[in-house]
Amino acid sequence: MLNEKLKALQIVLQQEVDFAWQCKMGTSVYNQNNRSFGSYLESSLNAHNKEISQILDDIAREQTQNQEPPNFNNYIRYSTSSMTHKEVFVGDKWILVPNTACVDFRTTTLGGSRAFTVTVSNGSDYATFTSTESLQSYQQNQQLLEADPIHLELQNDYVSKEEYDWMLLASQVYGTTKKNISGLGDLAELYSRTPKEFKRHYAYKISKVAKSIGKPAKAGKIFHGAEKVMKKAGKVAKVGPYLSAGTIIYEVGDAYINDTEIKPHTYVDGTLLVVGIAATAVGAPAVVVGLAIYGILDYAFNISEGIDNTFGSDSDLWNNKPIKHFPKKTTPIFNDVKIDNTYVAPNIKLPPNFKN
Amino acid sequence: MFKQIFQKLLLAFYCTSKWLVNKKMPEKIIPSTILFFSFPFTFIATGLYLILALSLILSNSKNLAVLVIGGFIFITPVYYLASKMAKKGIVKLDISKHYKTLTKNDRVNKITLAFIVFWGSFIIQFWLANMALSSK
Repeated sequence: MLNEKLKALQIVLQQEVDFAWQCKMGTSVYNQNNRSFGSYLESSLNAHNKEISQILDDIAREQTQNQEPPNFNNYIRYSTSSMTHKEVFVGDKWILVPNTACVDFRTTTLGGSRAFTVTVSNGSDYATFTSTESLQSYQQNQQLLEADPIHLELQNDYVSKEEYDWMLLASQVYGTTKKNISGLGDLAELYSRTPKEFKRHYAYKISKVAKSIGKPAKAGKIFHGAEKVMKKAGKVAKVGPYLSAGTIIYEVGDAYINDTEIKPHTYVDGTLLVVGIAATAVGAPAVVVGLAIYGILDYAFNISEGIDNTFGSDSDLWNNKPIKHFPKKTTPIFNDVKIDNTYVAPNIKLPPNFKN
Repeated sequence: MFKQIFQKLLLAFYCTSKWLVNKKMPEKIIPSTILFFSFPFTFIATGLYLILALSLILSNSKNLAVLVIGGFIFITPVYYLASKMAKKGIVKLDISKHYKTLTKNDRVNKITLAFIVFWGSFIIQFWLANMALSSK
């Protein structure tokens, strides 16, 4: 019905335009009474004013008759997230409402257009929402987002058949269904869930291996061995003052020749040397071993140079000067620019009804 | 006066070595006391040697070995005298008897004194070395 009316309106308007065009083309260019195309059209439309307004009236009437009152039964639904609440559509969103609440829908007008009002009352509290948007239009707008579930292929979440088998076994043995067991907590959990027989079996195996190597080493024996060494090394401590004096004199002389200050590593190493000598004199194997480890590390990784760089007089630790000349020079990362025509296909499969 | 200071210092180092030395090696207490007592003197001697001889030796010959050997020669009498003094002092002044009269709190105080003397002399050595370098 509506289409027919619109077609009739189109025909009438086309006739008027054609007539105005013929009038315009019929008149001569040299005619004194030269009227424009717009003025011809205006006069012809004025002549058929009544006809056009009638058609427009019919169209308007039909449109108002077509609008049915919304079906408010669809505006309430059960909540999927909580059992004690229901969801009510209030125009632009769904809200959660307790099951005991009273919901009242009414059709109203808002700014000349059709609208609906929801009143939600629960005990002494109540709320009123008014909206011109209907559930249908809301759903049509939402369809872009919710229509087809967007299929994302995340590699991490993909479980192969083999992995699935292992997970199944794990769920049967350990009671876990996690794919990645991470963190100490999980490990401890796993260990506590390991059957005792399994643990005993492995303890037995380890003991067998230890037997085949020989007598198992005990912590006490290692300690006694260290003590024996210390008894012999104690005599070395008598040379201690010479060692410390020699190293310090050497370092200071080196600084004198190179025209620098005493480097920080000299202090550190000197202190450690004295501590080491004291430890040998006293008979503390742990301290001597620790200092020996420091010496090996210093030799291997040059720790003293790192100490100099961080705490030395040239380091930023002692730099109190304000920064005036901040480096501004910029060097280009790429010297020549090339256009890369590689096309990278997007990983996301868009829904078929998606319009960009 | 000198004797009192000497006795106090020796007692302090004796307390320290009593506290530090491995309990299974009691025969090490007296040697370590002697060593700890003689260490501060050698530290200060090293610093003095650097002040006296650093620029003198290195301006003539840039050989570090000469400097180090000179240092050994300079230190030896100091070390020898200090250790001998400590050895005699322990026997003559009956340090071990004195130690038994001390309470636990006193011992802790003595250990603190020894610590300050030991590391204080170590710091003085570096202070003297820095002076020797800067007075070039």
